Amino acid sequence: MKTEQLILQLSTEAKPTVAFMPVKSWLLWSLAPMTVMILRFFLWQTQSPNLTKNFDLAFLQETILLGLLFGLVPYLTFKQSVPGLKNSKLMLLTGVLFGSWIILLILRATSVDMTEAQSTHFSEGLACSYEILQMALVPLAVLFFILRRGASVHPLRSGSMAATSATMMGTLVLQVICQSPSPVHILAFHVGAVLAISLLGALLGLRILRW
Amino acid sequence: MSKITDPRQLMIQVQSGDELAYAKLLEIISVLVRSFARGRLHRWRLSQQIDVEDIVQEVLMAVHLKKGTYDPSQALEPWIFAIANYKMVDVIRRHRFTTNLENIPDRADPHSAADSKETTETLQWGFLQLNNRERELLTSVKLNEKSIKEVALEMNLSESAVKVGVHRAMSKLKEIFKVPSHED
Repeated sequence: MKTEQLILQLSTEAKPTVAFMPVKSWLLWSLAPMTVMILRFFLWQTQSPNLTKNFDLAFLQETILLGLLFGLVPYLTFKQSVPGLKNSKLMLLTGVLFGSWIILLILRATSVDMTEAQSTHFSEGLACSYEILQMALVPLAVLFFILRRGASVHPLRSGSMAATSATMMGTLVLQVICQSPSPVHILAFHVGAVLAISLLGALLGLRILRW
Repeated sequence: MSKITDPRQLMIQVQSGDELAYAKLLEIISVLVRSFARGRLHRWRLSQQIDVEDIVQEVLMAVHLKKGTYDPSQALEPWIFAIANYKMVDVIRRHRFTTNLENIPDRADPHSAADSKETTETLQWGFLQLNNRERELLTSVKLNEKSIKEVALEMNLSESAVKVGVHRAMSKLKEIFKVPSHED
């Protein structure tokens, strides 16, 4: 088919378009992790809140960082679904926040004595990772569904960021309720779960977000 | 006919369903993308192998499908070029895949084919496109190197039927892999 013919054919199919708006989509999507969080507390509570937790400065810093990431990562993911938008500053900021969270944890892990670091049990750790995964499933499915309406020109990156976004609520919830105070536990089973799910999201993104 | 020539204004009209503005906009986009793609293909030394019109048409289709993602408060060109770049990579990737298929030798040597996993997989894919009888004939004559007489006896066919069957299967395989003849 010649290009002129294609233009003619496409122009006959002109109809009012429903605009894809990153901010609106982001706000709409936020309902999914919020709902999952509420359901988690009322329906399938697997860990009870740790009331003996040490709410110190490090805890506060990590929680604030996670809260910021919970807002920023999905917003950036939606913005990435609009071709041609410049996101480099936002991307840098997100990278810095994510890096700071991990650096804070590493610093804390290197300063604790090994008996405390080793106090975390593998099965407890896996329960945390499983809970992050469980809380991420529905938000991730909703996120991919909305993102398919967009036009991501970086499906791998978008998929990975979508998965990271979906894990953020679970990580934030576990930050408060997790029974283990050990930074090694958080690094291995919270950050580890986030990274593993992000990797999976990148692979899914390549398949689902191509257009 | 729409008097507006600013692509951004045209796009705003298109998003509200204006047919004439859409034709005009697609025309403008095709000109922009054609020159963009020509430059890129030249730079990547692919202008001989890939038809610019393939890329233009892919981009027009993409614009048609994803026009809802354009934000009227932003410039239109970065949006178009981001899509064009994405679709160009797709076309090039597809072209490389087709080229790999075309580079399969006319007479597939089973030993050298076994050396290359990719070639084996491509041949297997090609074999799956044939019907059972053609596959059986080719496997017996070309891969297992049995004589025409042996195969004819085994399959209860005349020798000429085996020869014709093998010839047809080979022609079909060539068609599947689109091997260009030397005269082309």
